[in-house]
Amino acid sequence: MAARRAATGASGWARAFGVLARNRLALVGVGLVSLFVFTAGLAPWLSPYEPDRITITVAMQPPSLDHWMGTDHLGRDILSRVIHGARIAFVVSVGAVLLGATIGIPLGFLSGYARGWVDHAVMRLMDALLAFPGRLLAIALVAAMGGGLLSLWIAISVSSLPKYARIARAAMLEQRERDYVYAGQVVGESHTVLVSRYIFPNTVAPLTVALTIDFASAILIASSLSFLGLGFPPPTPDWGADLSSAMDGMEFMPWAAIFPGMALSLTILGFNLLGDGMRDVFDPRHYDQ
Amino acid sequence: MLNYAASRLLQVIPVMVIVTLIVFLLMSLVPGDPVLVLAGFGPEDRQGISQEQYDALVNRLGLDQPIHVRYFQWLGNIFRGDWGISLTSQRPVLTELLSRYPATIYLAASAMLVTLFMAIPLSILAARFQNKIPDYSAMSFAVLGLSIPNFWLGLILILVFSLHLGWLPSIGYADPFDQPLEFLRHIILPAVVLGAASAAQLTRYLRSGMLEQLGEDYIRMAYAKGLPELLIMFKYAFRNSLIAAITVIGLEIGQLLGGSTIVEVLFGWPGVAKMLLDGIYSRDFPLIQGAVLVLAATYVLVNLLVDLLYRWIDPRVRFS
Repeated sequence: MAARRAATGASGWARAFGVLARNRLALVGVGLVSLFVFTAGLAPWLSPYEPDRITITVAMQPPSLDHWMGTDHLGRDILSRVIHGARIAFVVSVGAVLLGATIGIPLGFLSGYARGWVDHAVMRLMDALLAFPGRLLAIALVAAMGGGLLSLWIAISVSSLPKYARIARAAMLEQRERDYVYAGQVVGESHTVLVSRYIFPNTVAPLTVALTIDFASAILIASSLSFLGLGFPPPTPDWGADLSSAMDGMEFMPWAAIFPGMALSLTILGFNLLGDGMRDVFDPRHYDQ
Repeated sequence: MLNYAASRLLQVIPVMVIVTLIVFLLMSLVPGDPVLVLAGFGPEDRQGISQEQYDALVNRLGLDQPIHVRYFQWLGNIFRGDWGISLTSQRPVLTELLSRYPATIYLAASAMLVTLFMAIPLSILAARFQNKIPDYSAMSFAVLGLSIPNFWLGLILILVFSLHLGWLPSIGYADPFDQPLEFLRHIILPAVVLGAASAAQLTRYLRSGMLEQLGEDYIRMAYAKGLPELLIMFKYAFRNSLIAAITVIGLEIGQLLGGSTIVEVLFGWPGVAKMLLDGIYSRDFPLIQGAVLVLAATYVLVNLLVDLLYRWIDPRVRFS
């Protein structure tokens, strides 16, 4: 407990990592996220077969030594598809989170720094985006733009924009009244310097927590869209799409529905645990909860 | 309270204007010739349409007008109840949506019941036995509930309860007034799948609210007076933590409406969200616009009601 408190002091990131390392659940999160990143990065070398190689003679095989997770209705190796699916999930989520953050955070900063009508206009726009329930906006955008990587990035990032804008605005409002900002103004620093060199470094902590948790949400939305047939076209190895195609033969080959779903859930679990751990480190309100 | 209600109602207007604007502009994102898209033709059909027919289509769809004029015309039509004609069924979009709306509301309401039935006891147990087995179990449920995608949970439950045990149907719908028992059998799985993630979220929120309340002086006073623990937990701590949780419940209704797209497709539930997906698959854009607008408007109105309810329930706010 004392160590946790110490981490939120001025001692910075090194001690924060120390606190994180003592949180067992957060460590499980780190492990799962590392496994996901490692699998995504090394997919072509880790995968025992080509993910879209059709071998009808071995179709619908249960898990065995040759095919650890079994095969699907076309005889494709499920383990290889799960491994390559990690790569797709990684590319989609990293792109979507970065795009959302790149637009949302500056918007939030602008809103909180400028205040007045700018703040009002930006926040009403964000309210309107928040007025679309959960995944609905992403679905509507992909429906309009069509599937594919760029559409997924845009659709997922637009639905996370308001979250970033709000967190960045709140952090900006909290920081901009601090003495060090006034000191910067007194020595004649420009608005750009004040925001980028003075204020931004002090808002990194809450934004990092939001980014980590948003990975879970981006992967979830992307796989939901793929499950609905709005993601990548077949035969792309995609967890959501593979679960959707496993639906029809579930009675005869449950493994085709179990393993991709397990990979997806464990990845989301990893980001959630890591995000929770980081929130505990940075946000004193969450101590002991 | 009346002033607050009036100002909150006024806040809804700009939000709804932007919502309608986004729904209207969705159509500008559609790749290809908007004339062909809105008339329900594919790009390959352009060759088979004469210039006169094409111009007539442009005129009929109003696409020769500037975009802001088209937006106000479209908005006016929405208010008049003319939501366009579905390209696939050739029936008015509003009639189609209204016929499907009750199914979506039944599902969202049942999922909300599941959410409350799971979250309330779990959060009370977790807070009462903080850092003990019930707490760890409830928190494990919460983290798993947030991490397991609802379509995978749905597949696993179908596998176990429909395919292996044969207890519950995996697909279909029955009218709650004509066949109430069949309706119950059909709604259990979709409602559990849809409500699980919201239950997880609410459990975490209610637990932390309960812990906050249990640390307050009035609870210590209640214990000191020798009041029974059940009374303290339910009448004092839980009731006060629920007030703060009402806003979260409102937000979770949004999750339920958004998540219902997947659940309605997975269980063949004939609601607005399933209709939206069918519209997307058949590129029926008037239907897509209508369904998105209905779901978003429902969410905005529910949140308005939840906000008003919150103000009304909490006496500290009501009398301030």
